[in-house]
Amino acid sequence: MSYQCDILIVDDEPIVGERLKAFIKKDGHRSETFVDPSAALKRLEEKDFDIVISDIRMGEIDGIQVMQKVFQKSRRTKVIMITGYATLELARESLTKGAFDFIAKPFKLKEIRRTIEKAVESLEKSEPRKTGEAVVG
Amino acid sequence: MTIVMISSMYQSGREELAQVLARKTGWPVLSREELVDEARKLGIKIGRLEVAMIKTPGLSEKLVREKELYLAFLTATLCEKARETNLIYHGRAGHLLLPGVSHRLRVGLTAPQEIRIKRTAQVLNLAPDKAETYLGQLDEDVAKWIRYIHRVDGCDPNQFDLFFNLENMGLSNAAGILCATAELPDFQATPASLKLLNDLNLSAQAKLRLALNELTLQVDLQVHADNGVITVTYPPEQDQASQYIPQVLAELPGCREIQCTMAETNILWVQERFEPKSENFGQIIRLAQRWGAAVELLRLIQPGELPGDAETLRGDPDYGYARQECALADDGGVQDDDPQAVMDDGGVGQTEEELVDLGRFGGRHTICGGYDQILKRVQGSGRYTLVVIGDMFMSKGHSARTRQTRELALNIRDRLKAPVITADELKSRFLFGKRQAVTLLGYLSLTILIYVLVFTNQKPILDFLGGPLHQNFKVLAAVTVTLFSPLLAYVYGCVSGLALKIINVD
Repeated sequence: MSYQCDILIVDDEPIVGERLKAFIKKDGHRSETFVDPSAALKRLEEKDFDIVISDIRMGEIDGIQVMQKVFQKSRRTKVIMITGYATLELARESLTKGAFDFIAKPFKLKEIRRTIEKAVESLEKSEPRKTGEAVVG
Repeated sequence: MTIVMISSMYQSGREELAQVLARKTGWPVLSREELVDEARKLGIKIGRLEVAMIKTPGLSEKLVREKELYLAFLTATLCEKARETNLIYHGRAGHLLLPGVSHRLRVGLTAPQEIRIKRTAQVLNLAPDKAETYLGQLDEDVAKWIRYIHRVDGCDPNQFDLFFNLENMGLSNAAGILCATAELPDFQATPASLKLLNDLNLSAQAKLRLALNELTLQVDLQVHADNGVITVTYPPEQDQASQYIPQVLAELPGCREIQCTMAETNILWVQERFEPKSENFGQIIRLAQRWGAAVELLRLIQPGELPGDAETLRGDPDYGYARQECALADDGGVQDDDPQAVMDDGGVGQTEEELVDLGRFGGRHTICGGYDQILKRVQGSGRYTLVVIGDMFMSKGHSARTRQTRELALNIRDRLKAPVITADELKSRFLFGKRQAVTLLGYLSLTILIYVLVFTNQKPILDFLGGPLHQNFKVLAAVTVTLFSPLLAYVYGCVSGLALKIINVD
């Protein structure tokens, strides 16, 4: 059994958001997708998300900046970085700066599902939600 | 003509040294980062390879082939660029590329840790303590990467021609030393080093073409190039796909002949569950390397032990490999799950990875049943030099397991042309271990004792065999010679056989 999470997805390739959104919905979570990182940052100002899935290379604003913005607002949010340009240096940088996980593209859906499950477990351990919040499973 | 290959850990100044050297010499500079970007465009999953050093890859993930492709791409690109001009290359483990080419100058570089921490903190906008942690972890990851990709220790001084410590030396002076060293006759191209460069290039180009073409991407090939002749060796199991090899390699620049040969020596390894760290694997791989043989894996599942989610097994060879062309894919790198990967493969996938990495993979199958099914699978092929029956009937007790394994081996041996042995017999018959060393010592001592006794007692022995004493013991002398000669021959033969095993002669 796991909580219903609010997940924000930001990737400049629309297909990534579409594919992730569909499968996240299937798993019982709510998601919002953005192709423009500025719009995603604006949304992050308005709302706290449980999990943020962010691409790294996205033009002017990169995923590391998105992650830093997320942590300014909420330290409990789990940030999962995804990128097609993965290197050891980049992965270590993301993890050192607080990313929950780092996934290199191309990845299978089960891999990100497993990571989201772990993030949910970690959220549950660190800060159990108030009674009455939606539960699925 | 010289290829300068500068290698260092992160933020140790390799890029800066390359730039200073380029300014002094006017030679072109190439970085690993540029090559990696190009490789990604071809669909080589370098990101997955890199992240696998931090996270354990999925069971179904076949990264060894990506590693081979990555190395082939780097080799081909470097060879092309360095064919007619001097070149400066800098990157992680750059000194390990183009092995054997004598006109490459392998340069190592290190900088004080405080400077590295300071630079890292600046570049990544990290606090110094975080930067130190980052560097510590990254250095470990890179060392792991080098061991995985090149199978050597990246810090081994034997792998370098020059090593700079930038603690007390400026980049300009280091570049000056490099310029002078690069001028030395030791690092100039020779006909032999140019030939090796061309051979490496041709072989890498051929590997890339074969691995990226859909007609041949599933075939496990060994590619070798010598003086314009490309030799491609394929396992017998994949002879159907091998017919496309000449077509795929047609008009490859620098290739004047293509030879396709089927691997002649093959070991079939039958087992219930495979484990690349097991003793059996070590023994079989030792034999395969000695014989130059490919190892084919046959997983035998006992009837009734088939996983619940797999009602039937496919009859086709299970290569377990399908390249997703990530550069061409329209899924944004988010791929659907592979249903086959869910099933427990009994360690076949991991063992396959190890065999591919060692260049000894000859195919894989999974069948359900007993020796009839094994025979059905392999009979008539006549392509096995040896069949090894490994750990079978693992759910049974020790004695039942030993008996049933022997029975299985006997049944197969009777109906198959190839020799069939169990894993226990493998060591005693083909390999040299502690037990064999003790046996050799025993037989050797006995042989020496016999020779010493014979040569120190020649007079009485000659008397007994043909002298005055012989007249009284004619029959006994004949019986003694009849028994002694084969005994000595056996003892001496054992010593010779075991001694030959030490030098890998069967």
